[in-house]
Amino acid sequence: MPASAPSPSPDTQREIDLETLLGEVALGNEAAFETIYDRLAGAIYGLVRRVVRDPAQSDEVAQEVLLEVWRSASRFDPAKGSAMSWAMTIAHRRAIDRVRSAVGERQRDQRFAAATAPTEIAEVAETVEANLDRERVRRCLETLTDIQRESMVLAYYGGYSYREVAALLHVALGTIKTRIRDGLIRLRDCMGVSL
Amino acid sequence: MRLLRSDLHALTGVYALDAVDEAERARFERHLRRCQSCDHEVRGLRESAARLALAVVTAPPQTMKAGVLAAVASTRQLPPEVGPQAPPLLSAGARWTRLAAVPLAVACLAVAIVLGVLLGVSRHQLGTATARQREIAAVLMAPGARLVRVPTTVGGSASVVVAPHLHQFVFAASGLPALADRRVYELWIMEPDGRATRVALLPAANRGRTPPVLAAGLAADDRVGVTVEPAGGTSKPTTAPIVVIPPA
Repeated sequence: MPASAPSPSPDTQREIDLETLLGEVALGNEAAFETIYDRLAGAIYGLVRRVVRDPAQSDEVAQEVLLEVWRSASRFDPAKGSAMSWAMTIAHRRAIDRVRSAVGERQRDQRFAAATAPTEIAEVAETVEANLDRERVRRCLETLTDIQRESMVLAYYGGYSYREVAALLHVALGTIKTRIRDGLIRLRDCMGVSL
Repeated sequence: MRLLRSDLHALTGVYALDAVDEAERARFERHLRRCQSCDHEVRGLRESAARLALAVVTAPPQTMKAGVLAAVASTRQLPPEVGPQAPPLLSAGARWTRLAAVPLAVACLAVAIVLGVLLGVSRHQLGTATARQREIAAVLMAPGARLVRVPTTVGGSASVVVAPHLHQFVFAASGLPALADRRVYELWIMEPDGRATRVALLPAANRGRTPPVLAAGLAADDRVGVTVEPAGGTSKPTTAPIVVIPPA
């Protein structure tokens, strides 16, 4: 996480978790939203930028996502998963909508032609390596098989559908589905994601 | 193209990565509503996917924050989702919303009504709740939630419902006398060694009922207490508690 939140009051020693903050945001608490911004904007912007690529469009989408977090905070249900995963789902879907929509069409075609799988993967590996804090994710990605890692990277960071991933990697559709699922499970086990 | 059920199940991974097309997404979400194990698996896989986002954290442009905060100030928020329909993003767990809405399971209904009446939360409120009220309802209906009700030394009574694994509790009271000189009722978590942590000032009573207060951070041996304090409250209790509620 990019930064830790300032203590909202002297009574609170522990860092307030995102779930609690979202509950406050749902009640219209703008200060709580600002704390959420400080903690999540980096991950949201990074993910959107990775998927959308174009800086101007990425800015736009990231802002939409952050505003969406504000608007729909009341729809967050902690029983269904963490606040982080909720916010990242919004970010990822918005980014994907953008690259799959007409606005992104032209760009996407170019990207399809120009971007080959290996560059995409190398770039992600580079970014990941640049973040010391992300060492764990990198190490976990390394424990995956090549096809697991490549298909996950293309699908998640590349924003490709699994059909497109299958075409890019010349692998059967069924294989991609299984590899992505297995890869995520291994990632989960490696990172100790609770649930 | 029609997918067999086993094929549908294999979509958990690509669905968690949003790597499906619209039609498949819709079909799979219908499947999720019926398949609890798939739903559970998708949730776990989404948590891993979110970690992939952490791997590419990038500082946003400096100007973005001011822009977003300005937009927030002029953007109306969505009301909470009530009733059985949930947006696709959250559809699977609509289970909870449904529990809290009108068709409560019979056992839950009884518990919720009893607790709701005791705590001054109506069934209508449980159904059409704000996020905060839903959190309160979640505590009231949590498995293993226990209610302790104790009379206070100034009249009326105070109740606490503790949901053990949520580490949260709900406090409510009824019949507390109104206080003069802008004095306030202050709620504390009291540790076994005598230390007290301020939780909140109790909201003003409405027709004799003090609205519920949701708080977290109650450890197993802690007690919940209320004192009468000067206007604005204090950081430590300065008077003897009017009620101390032991752990359930």
